[in-house]
Amino acid sequence: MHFPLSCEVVIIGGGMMGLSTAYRLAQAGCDVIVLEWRNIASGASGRNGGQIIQLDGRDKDQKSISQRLIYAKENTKLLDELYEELDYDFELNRCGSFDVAFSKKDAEELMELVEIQRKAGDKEIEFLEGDEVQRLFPVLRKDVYGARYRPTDGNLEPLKLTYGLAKAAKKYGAKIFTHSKVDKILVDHIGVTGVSIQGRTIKTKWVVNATNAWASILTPEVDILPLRDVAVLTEEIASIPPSPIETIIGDELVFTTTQTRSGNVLVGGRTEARFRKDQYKEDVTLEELRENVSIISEFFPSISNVNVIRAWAGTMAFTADGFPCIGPMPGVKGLIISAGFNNGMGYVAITGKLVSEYILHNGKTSLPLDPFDPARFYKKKIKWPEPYNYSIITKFLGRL
Amino acid sequence: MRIVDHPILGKLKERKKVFIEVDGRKIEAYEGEPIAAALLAAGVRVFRYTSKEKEPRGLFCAIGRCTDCVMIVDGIPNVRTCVTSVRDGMKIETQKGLGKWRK
Repeated sequence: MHFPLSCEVVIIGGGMMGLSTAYRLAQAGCDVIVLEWRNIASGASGRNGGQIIQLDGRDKDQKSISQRLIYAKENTKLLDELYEELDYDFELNRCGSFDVAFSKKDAEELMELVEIQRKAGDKEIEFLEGDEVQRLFPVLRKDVYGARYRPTDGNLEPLKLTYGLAKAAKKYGAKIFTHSKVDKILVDHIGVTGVSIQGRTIKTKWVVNATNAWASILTPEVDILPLRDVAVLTEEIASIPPSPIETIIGDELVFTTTQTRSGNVLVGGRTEARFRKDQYKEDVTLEELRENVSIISEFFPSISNVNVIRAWAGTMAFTADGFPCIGPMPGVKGLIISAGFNNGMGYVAITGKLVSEYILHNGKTSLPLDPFDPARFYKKKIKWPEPYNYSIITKFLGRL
Repeated sequence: MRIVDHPILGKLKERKKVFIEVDGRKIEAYEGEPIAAALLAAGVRVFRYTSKEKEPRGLFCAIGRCTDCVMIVDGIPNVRTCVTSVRDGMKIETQKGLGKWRK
């Protein structure tokens, strides 16, 4: 690899967060390079379902909801703009999203949530009665009690979004190096001096650690938990419709689905509990495949004869409060963390914008980065449960 | 079109008659025969139209391999009519592209 001897900004990680930042920086004329240890979108960026769920989870804190809404709305607006700007069709489809209840108790909880969210200033969220959900989703099991529905949510093709961002970043002069693994972020007593890669040194004043699930390997001061999830993909079928669906029964995520533009239905949500080191494995066990396929026959009886054509696993990330870390690392001038994402589509555009603004305007951003400040976890050791999966972690964080 | 007297298989046996509905039209079928056989006997040649070019397709391999003969049967798209038996009152629709889920 012909790495440059120096540059203004080094971004570690060729996923959607890193490239979204690289795109904005390059557009502003900044000399930026991206170092990716495998290939573009090899991690969660190319493995997730692309669901755009602006306010994920079952947050009941009004203050937190109204704050999160500001970032979510801005992100959605920026996604729409990216769809026009990028010379790449990433299949953005604002088809709405559903949080479906299969019991009276769950429906009542969703109704309560919708009320809280509306009080917090969320005008879009609504509660749909069971027969309305059935009319919109004819393939769903008949015992639907209702759903929390947001018409402006939807989905996109995350792999294409990432490639689109890479292409646009390159157009503005960003250099992207794949199969280039950073060994170490170099710092002195003041801050970042460069990165060490394949025996060479690239000098820089700014490093963005955008490696999400791998972030703690390069920056151990912030504890970011890798979390593996499994996806199963069916053959192309008619629209079911494509809107992402989530079902949480009690405090456990039962499944998520979404349908691509070409008609493949993606199902996921059931993974076996594993130890931290095994959360990076990207193959799927037969038991996991069975578990996820059984969701189709259990909740979508009409499409139970559809063929499954692919299955894979990928690794997302969690922090101790469930929200990402975006911002400067305390004590190390020039080191920016952009990791801990478990709902990438809800943050991809806004992260790129705010991180690039921080770098370009000496720490000034159009929206404050405080809610995502990495300092809140600085050198805090969290006693995560082991082994774990999505259910165990969300229960541990009290987040669903 | 039905072969009533086959040189090897012999004469067509008398079987119970049932009725199926094809795009709203009622047609006669023999109990237990594949949907595709009943359609051919009733003169239906086009079973579906392709997604991209909207070209007509009908019976091709007739043994359940090629999926060219799929139609919407009782609200479920992509049903292979050559290996699915008729049932009295079955509702069958010509499938356009990937079709449409009705249940």
